[in-house]
Amino acid sequence: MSSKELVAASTRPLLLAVLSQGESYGYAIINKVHDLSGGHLQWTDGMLYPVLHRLEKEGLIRSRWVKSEVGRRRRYYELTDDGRVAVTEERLRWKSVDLALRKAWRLAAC
Amino acid sequence: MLNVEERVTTWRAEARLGSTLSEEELDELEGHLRDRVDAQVASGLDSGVAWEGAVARLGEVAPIDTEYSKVRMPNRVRDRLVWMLAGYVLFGGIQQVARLVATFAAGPGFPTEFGDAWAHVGLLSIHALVLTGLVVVALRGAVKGGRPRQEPGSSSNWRGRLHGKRWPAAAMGAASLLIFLTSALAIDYGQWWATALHAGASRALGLTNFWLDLFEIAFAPALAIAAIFLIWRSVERTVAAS
Repeated sequence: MSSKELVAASTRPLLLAVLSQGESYGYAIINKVHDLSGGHLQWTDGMLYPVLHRLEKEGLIRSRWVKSEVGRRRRYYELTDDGRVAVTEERLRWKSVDLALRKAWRLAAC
Repeated sequence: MLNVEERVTTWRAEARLGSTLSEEELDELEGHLRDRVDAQVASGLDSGVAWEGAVARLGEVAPIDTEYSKVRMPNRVRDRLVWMLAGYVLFGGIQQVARLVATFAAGPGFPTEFGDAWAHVGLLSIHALVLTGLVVVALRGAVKGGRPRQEPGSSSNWRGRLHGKRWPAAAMGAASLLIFLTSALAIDYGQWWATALHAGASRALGLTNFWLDLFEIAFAPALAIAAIFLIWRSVERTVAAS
């Protein structure tokens, strides 16, 4: 189980990364994150939506309502051009954190 | 067998009462609940258990609403500020246009007092509109009330808690009405204060009439708007903290 702070910090890059694979909707995004993290990242489902709306407001993603095959309306989200740039930036940021942690752990193990 | 439709309707009604979520936002959350229930039922779970699990995983509506409010807040601040500025510009514009129309339409020799009287038409119209609006707000709060009250402690959202009460709307309407009437009366005596301010500032600071006029026209209203804005923000924060 991850800490609350880590979950909060990783939400944004994870959402952007998932959406960089193509447009998706809330429930599917949560399932995807659950699968990617091997069940370690547990989000309160409802908290996903305000984050998505914040990203949309920031212009990183856009949304549209689509009727599903069972006739249910779903809001699909996809990355904008700014969102794609943000994915690259987030990747660099998290890579540097990952690299620093790996080095620190390696030194600690020696 | 659980009637999911019935549960969804009840959940939605309760969520609507206890939050400021829009219908579109509720649609999205409801869709999420339905997706999860369908998936759980398809995997062989009882619909009752699936429903309870889906609601638990979705979380309480109040914290979700609070998060949505944070996303919406900068927009609200900006919108209100824009409306306040627009109101001020409109107010000044109407006065000037009315004065110009009256002066040019009347032609030379027309009593200037009449031009001033026309200029006051804009002022009086705005006063009448504001007065009517505030009376309506106060009466609506006192007579109709808001949405039903949410159970205490079930929401961390102050807007949700206030929605169930009649007094906030009535009190806000009445207080605004009082402030408005007081300031409307002050306008009549405002000229005396303006004259005194002019004389005092020109003596103390050595300012010319140009700078004094500029201060009155631009800075004083801007400061007043900023003051109103800051008061409103601090009240909102105080209520949120409580």
